[in-house]
Amino acid sequence: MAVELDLADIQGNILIPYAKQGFLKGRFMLFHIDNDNADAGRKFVTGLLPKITTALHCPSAQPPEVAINIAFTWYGLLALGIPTRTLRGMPDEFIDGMVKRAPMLGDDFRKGWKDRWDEVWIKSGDSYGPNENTVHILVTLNAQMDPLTGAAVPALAEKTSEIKKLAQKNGGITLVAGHNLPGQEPPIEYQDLSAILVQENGKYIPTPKEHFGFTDGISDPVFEGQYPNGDEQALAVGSGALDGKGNWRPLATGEFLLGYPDEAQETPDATMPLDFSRNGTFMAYRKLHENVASFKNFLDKTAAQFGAVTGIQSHDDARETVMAKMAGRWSDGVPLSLAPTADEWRKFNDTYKAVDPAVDPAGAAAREAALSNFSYHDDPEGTKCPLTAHMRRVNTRDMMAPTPEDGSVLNNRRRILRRGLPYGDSPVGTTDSDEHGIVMLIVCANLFRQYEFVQQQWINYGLDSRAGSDTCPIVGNHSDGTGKEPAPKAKFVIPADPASGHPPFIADGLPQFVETRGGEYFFVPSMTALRMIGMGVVDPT
Amino acid sequence: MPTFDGGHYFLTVLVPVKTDPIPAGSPFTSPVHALRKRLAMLPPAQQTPACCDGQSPFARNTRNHFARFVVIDDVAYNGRVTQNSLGLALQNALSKVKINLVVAQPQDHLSCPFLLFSVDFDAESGADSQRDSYLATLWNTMEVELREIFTHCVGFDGVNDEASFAKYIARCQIETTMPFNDYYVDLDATVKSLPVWPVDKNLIPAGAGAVVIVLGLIIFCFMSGMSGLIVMLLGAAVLAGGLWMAYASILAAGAKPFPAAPDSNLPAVLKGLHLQRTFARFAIDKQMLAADPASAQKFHAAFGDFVAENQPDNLGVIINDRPDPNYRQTQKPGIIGI
Repeated sequence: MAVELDLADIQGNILIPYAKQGFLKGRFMLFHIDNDNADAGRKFVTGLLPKITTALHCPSAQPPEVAINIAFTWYGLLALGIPTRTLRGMPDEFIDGMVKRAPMLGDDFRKGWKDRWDEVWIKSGDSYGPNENTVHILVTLNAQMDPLTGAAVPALAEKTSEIKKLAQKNGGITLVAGHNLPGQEPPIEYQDLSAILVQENGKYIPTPKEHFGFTDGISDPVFEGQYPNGDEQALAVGSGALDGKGNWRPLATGEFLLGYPDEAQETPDATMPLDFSRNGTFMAYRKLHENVASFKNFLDKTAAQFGAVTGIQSHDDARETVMAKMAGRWSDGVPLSLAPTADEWRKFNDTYKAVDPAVDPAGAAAREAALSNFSYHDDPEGTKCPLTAHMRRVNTRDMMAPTPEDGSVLNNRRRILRRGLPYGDSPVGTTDSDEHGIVMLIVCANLFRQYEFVQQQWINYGLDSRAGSDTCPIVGNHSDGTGKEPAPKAKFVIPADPASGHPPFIADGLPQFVETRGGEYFFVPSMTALRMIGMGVVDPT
Repeated sequence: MPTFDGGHYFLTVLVPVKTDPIPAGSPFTSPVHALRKRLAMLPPAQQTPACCDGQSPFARNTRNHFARFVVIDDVAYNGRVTQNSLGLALQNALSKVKINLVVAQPQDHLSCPFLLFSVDFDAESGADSQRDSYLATLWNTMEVELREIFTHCVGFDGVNDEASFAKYIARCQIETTMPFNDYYVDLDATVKSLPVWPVDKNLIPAGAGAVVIVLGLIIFCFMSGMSGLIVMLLGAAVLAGGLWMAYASILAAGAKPFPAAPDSNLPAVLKGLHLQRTFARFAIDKQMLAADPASAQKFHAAFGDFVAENQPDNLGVIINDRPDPNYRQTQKPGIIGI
């Protein structure tokens, strides 16, 4: 019997990313519940409950203009008066929160790291505990876009003020502002987000790009119950779990939602009562600043050397190839594993043309399926896709299989759902200090086993990629080797096929491309749990 | 003999810890408390976020792969030995000896805490002299720490030199039954080194015994009862002896240690790490030369310089198991930072 999910109980954005449903604009609001005001907190939750978007609305034939969702920090649950037994049943990393987990995540790589976070996250507290600005509640608004202006539909402003009024109505709930660096005035009230847009024929068209120029959001994990009509079996090809014979299947539901069997064939630990945990999940909120100028300068410098070493004459091809080797995909998403050279990349794009899904849905679906359908068994040395490329690190597919029969078994328990949107803009001539990056929302049933493992072992370390201490060339921590950071000078090895007659290339002295600007761990409850929180009837006995 | 395997000696030692209170300034404390505190202050034990302040005393020699001290307070109590409850009810109903579940079963305890000392070090064989030479190296490189640790242990008071230390540790040594050797072996050489145990050859004596028993049975049935019985007994004795010989030869074959993995002694491992680091830097610095065929000669010469500088075959002069402080073309034992 396949898993049948109660879509009305699961918050939107977990099963299918909002960005893929046409919600191209985002606004994230953070709230604090004042001391001894659990009652006001509960009234806020209850007041918000009818506005919350579930998986039943999204996707649907009549989606809302603005999707609204809610999540809580551990201190938020404490402030809401959740019983001790339920609170202590929560996982350690969620109780700790993201600041305390900084050594695990590599966020403390540089001295004074916390001073470079956004004001709101600095104020939220340190490892010593909460204060009067501690973030308790995250409310996310994901809005449709007006293609003529490139701005969010007016409903976003209306919903924003409705939520602010709701918070003020009973008192005791404060909007915590400061989504900008300390000292920048005034403190920004919300984190606004937007897909990166291009202008065509007087209209704004969304792109799936992030600020470095990569195409994002491909090969999101596919799990049982995620899609209607059992569609996930077909969608699992390239995005689910791989057996040793080349067959794909959806991952177990329990990897992404609490209360269901997971890939270890057990129901993962969850706090009591079960209906408080079931259909809920955890989410890491990470505001990741991108040093776009540094990245582009590095690319130009490295492409010239790389072209000389590998005999690629065209500077553009060399530049695109370096980008692709870093990411594992060409800038338009075509995987290196299927198109290892610039010529093969162009050939792939002739076979699977990038078409507008509205015009040619079958063609668009064929391309999307082709972008994910590959594995690494035929490329053990990484001559096509380097073992240390970003994509090969964070989703190892069958690379780690102890024997060829094991497929993706060592990857299946380390998958994460990526939900989130870029923020800011990065026009030509942009500098590193401009405000632009991504707010990553990482969703999984166990932040420690899934997200933190990937971040610590696969992004900020290189052993499983057979690369020693080398970190992810794009999002990993990069030291300049002067002893200021606890790591040797960052490098990135691009293996070469010995048959090509060219030596491998080692990119040396990678600057820090991505910096954390703050964030927190959140619990995303089911609608049932939200009702229980609002009514104050969470009973773990 | 698993105490020695793959070119490594796996020393396991259990030393009883004193129990009489000791005056450690004021107030009095127990030896096991003081021992724990001393162990916690050995440098790499302080693994805090700001770790690596100071080097382990075990890094002062070039034979040590892994060393560990553990204090064992007592054996763990694993709960009551369970019994089928229906069986218990039946037993209590039928037997005069009643089992009362609220009366505690006997529990095992140690008479004193023990210090476990477990080390994996380079050795040429499992001979006692190899162990003693390592212990002498330890005494000569970390006598102060060893005294501060073992002073809390029973019978250490007379230890005052490398020979008496080696003798003391030997008294407390137990057999290592499962060593773990984490180096890549040369699979072909290892397989070839395995002893051959031909089944037919090793079972000939036992088989002969079985034949004699059958012969005795035939004599017993068809000829003389008494003679048949004697022949059968003789056959049984040969069978038993043959089986024992086969069993003993299997055990003897199993006790033969695996050969050392190539370059798995500590000086070779440290040299390998040094070469990896320096060669990576060489490759980065010279890759533009390698890309240009016109520079082939320069590249070749640069590699020659690299080899001359780093002396891949020279593991560093080791005097009495100590790293040569003046030899820079290898990595120092212990934590190296970046």
